[in-house]
Amino acid sequence: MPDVRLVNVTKRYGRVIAVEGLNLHVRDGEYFVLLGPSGCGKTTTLRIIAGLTKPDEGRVYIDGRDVSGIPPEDRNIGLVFQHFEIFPFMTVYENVAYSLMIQGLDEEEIERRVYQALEVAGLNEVADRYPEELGAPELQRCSIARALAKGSRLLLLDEPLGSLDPETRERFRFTLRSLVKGRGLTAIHVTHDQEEAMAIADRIAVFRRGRVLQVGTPMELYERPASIFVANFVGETNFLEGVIERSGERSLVRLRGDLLIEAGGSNLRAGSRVVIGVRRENILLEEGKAEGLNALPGRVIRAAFLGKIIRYRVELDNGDLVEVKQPTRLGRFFGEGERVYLIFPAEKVLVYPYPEDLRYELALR
Amino acid sequence: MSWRRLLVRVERRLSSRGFSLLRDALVLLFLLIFVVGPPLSIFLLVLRSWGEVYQTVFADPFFAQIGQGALRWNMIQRGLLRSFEIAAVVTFIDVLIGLPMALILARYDFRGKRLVDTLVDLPMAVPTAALGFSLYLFWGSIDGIGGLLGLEGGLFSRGPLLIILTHVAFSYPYIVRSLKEIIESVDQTLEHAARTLGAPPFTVFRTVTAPLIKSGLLAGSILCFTRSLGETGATLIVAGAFYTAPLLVVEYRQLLMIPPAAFLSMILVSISAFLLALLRFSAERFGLPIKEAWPRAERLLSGRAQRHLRDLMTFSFFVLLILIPSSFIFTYLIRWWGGSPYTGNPNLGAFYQVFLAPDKKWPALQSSIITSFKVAALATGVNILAGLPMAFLLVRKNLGRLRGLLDALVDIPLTVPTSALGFSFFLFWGTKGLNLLGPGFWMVVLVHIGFTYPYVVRPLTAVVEGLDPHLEEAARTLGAPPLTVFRTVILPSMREGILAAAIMAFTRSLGETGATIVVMGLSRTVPVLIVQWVESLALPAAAFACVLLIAISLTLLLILRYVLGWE
Repeated sequence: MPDVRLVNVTKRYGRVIAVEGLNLHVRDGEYFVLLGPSGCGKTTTLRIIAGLTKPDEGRVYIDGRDVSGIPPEDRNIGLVFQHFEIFPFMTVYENVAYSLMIQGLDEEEIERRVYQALEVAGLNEVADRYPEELGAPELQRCSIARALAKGSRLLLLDEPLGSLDPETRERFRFTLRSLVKGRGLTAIHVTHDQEEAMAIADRIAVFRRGRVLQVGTPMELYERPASIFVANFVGETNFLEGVIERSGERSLVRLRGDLLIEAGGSNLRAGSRVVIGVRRENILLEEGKAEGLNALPGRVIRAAFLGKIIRYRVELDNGDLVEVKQPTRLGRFFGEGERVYLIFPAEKVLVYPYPEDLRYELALR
Repeated sequence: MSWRRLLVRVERRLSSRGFSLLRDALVLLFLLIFVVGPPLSIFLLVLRSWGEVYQTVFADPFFAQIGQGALRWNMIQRGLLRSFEIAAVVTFIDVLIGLPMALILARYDFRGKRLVDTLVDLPMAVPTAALGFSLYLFWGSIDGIGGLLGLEGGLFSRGPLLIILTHVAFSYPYIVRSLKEIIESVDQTLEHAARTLGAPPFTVFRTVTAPLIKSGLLAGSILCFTRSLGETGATLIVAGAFYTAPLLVVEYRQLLMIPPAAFLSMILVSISAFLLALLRFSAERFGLPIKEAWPRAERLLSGRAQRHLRDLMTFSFFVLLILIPSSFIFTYLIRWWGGSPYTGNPNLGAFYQVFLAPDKKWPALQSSIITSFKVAALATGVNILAGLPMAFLLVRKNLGRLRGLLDALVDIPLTVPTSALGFSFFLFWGTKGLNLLGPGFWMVVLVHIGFTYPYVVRPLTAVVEGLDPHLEEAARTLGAPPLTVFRTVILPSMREGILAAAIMAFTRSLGETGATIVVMGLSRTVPVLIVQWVESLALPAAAFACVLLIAISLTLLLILRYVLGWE
C-alpha cells in the first residue's frame, strides 16, 4: 500500500529555487492536495515524485522504498497531466492499453483491463475514436483511464481540472474523489484553485516559494491558518492593520483611528505591529452594537444583492475598507450610504505579525 | 501635405482590389515563367523534336553500324540506375547516423552542445564542389588518409564509393537539422506521459516520438534522396570515369548533344515530380510498428551502457565521416602553400600557382568571385521581391486545393537535379525555345533565380504563417490601409526572416555548380572554376579557391545563425 515520503527535497533551476528543504508525508489511501500560486514549486514536487525531475538533494520514498535513482517507468505511479497528453495517433482504446502493452500482457488480459478502465471512466462509447474527435472532458477521462489501467495504487494529478470549463470542473471534483476512494488509491493532486482543493482533499499542503507553509485538513486550514499567507490564500479574508494592546488567551488590538477590537489568542508582545484577519462571511451587518461581540462602525459604500448572499463593501470610520459576504436570510438589506456596525466574535479574528513581504499583495499601507 | 500622409494615400490607392489582383497575377506569372516554366516546358520541347531525340537516343545511325543504335539509351538507363542506387544508400546512411545525432542535439544537454551543433552545420558552409574536392583529397589522394596509412596512393579511388561518402557528407547537416527541428517540435510531455506509463526510453522513442516525427522523417529522407540524385558539383570531382545521370546531362551539354541531354533532363524532371508527389501524399500512410512491445529487449536497449555506446558511435561517425573529411582541405592547403611537401618544389605550391604562374589564375579567380557575387545578389534580390508576395498569397489567400498545387510548383526546383534544371533553362530561353537569350551571365542569373526560388519562398511562408493577424487587425482598425499595414507592421516583424531567407538563397547560389556549368558560356563562377582547376590538376590552386569560397560562405552562415539566434 503506497504512502509517499519526501525528505529534505531541494530542486534548483540555475539560481531559481523551485523547491527547498521539502518534507512531506502522504499517507496511504489519502487524497492529498498540493495547493499554491503558480511558480510555488507544487508541480516540481509532483514531477519529483513521478521521477520526471531529479531533485538536487533529498530522498523520495514510495511505499517505504527509496526511489531516488529509479526512472519514471519503473516507479509504480500513474500520472494525469494538465493537458492530458493523449497520444494523438492512437485511439482512446490504444491510449488506455499503452501501459499494458508495454508490460507485454496478452491480448485478452489487455482487453479486459482496458474495458474495465474505460467503463469506470465512462468512455466505452468512444473507445475507437481518435483524440482529435473528442472534447476536453472526454480527453480528461481518457487520461485518467490510461493512468488507472496501469494498475498503480498511487495516482498523481497535475492540475487535472485546469483545462476544463468551470461547470465540468466542479462536477469532476467529485468524480475524481470517488474514483480514488472507491478503488482505495492514494492520490496527490496539484492545483492552484483553493476551492477545488477544499472540496476534494483529505489534507492539503499549502506551498509558497518552494516551501510548505502548512499541512492540514481543509477545516484546519480554514479555521486556523498558520500564517497570513495561508489565511489570504484559503478563503476570502479582510486584513486590517493594528497594534497589540494586550496578548494572551484573548488579545486586544488597537486598529487605526483608535478602534479597539478583541481577537483570538496571540503571544505577540504588547506594542508590536500586527495585521488582523476576519473572513468576509464571518461578519454580520447590524444597525446597532451587540453584547459581547466586536462592533466596528462604518458606512456601506457598495452593496450587491446576489440572491443567496449579499456582498457589501463597508468603509470603517477610520477609513479602512472591509468586504462582507452575508447570507440573505440573516438580517435585512442595507443600501449604499447607510450607517452600520460590523459585528463579529473575537474567536473569528486571526492575529499575525505585520508581514513586510506581503504589503502589496494584501494592499496594506 | 507631409510625405508620410502622401505615402499612406498612395498605399491606400495601391491597396485597392484591382491593384492587389494585379500583384497576385504578376506573382503567379513570375512563378510560371521564371521558375517552373523551363522545367515543365521541356516535355513540350522533347515532344516537338521527338524525331531527333529518338534518333540520337534510341537509333543513332553511327552506333547502329556496330549494332549499338540504342547506346545512349543504355547509358542513360545505367546512369539513372546508378544515381538511384547511390541516392538510396546515401539516404540510408544519412538517416542511420543522422537520426541519433538529431535526437542527442534535440533532447539532451551536455557540455559542448553548441559546438557540436555548429560543427554539424559546417558542411553546409562548404560549397559542394569544394566539399567534393576536400573529400577527394582526404579519401582519394596520398595527401589524405592514404599517406597516413602508408599507402602508395589514396585509400579509395574516384568512383561510386567516393561519391557516396561525398553525398553523405553534404546532405548530413540538412537531415540532422530538419530531424532535430521535428524532434524539438514534439511535445516532450507526451514522452513524459509514456515514461510514467511504464515505457523505457527506447520504447518511448519507438511508440511515441517516432510516430509523431514519421512524416517529417519521410520528408527529410525524400529530400535527402533527391539532393543526392541531383548533386552535380561535388560529383564531378569525385566521380572519375564513373558517371551519374546529372553528370551525363553536363557531358551531353558540353559535347553539344542537345537532344539526349533534353531527353535525360525530361526524365529527371519527371522523377522529381513523382518524388515530390510522394513527399506530399504518402507520409500519412506510412505505418510503424507501435502496437507491439518487446519489454525485455527494449529495456535492455534503454540501458545506460547502450546509450553511451550509441552516443559514442554517433559522434565517431560524425567526426570520421563528416567533420574531418570536409575540413581536410585546410590541412591540405597549409601543407601545399609554399611548395610540394614531398619535393619542396615551390612551383607546385598554391602560392606560386595562384599568384605567380604565367596562366594568371589570380585575376581569373577575382573575376569569378565578382561574377559569383553578382549572380547571387541578383538572384537573391529578385527572389525576395517576388517571393514575399508569393508567401502572402500562399498563406493568407484562401486557396483551397490550389494551395497544394502552388506549393508543389514552388518546390519543383528543390527536387529537380540542378544540371537538368539548368539545361531546361538553356532550352527554354535559348534557340530551341523562346530564342531570347544565349548562354552567358544573364542566363546564369536566370537559372540561379529559378533554383533559389524555393529557398526564399519556403522560409518566408513559414514566417508569414507565424505572424499574428491580430496585430494587423489592430493596425487596420487604427486606420491603416493594407499596404501601410504591410510596411509599418508586417515588414518590421519579418525583418529577421527575410534576412535569413536572403542569406540562405545567397549561399546556395554561391555554391552551385551543376546549374551554372550547363548555361555559363564564357562567364565563370567560383565553383565552376574549382572544377576546372581540379580537372587540369592544379590541385593546390583549386584548394586555395575552395578555402576562399568556404570562408565567404562560412561568414554568411555565421551571420545567419546569429540572426536566427542559437536555436
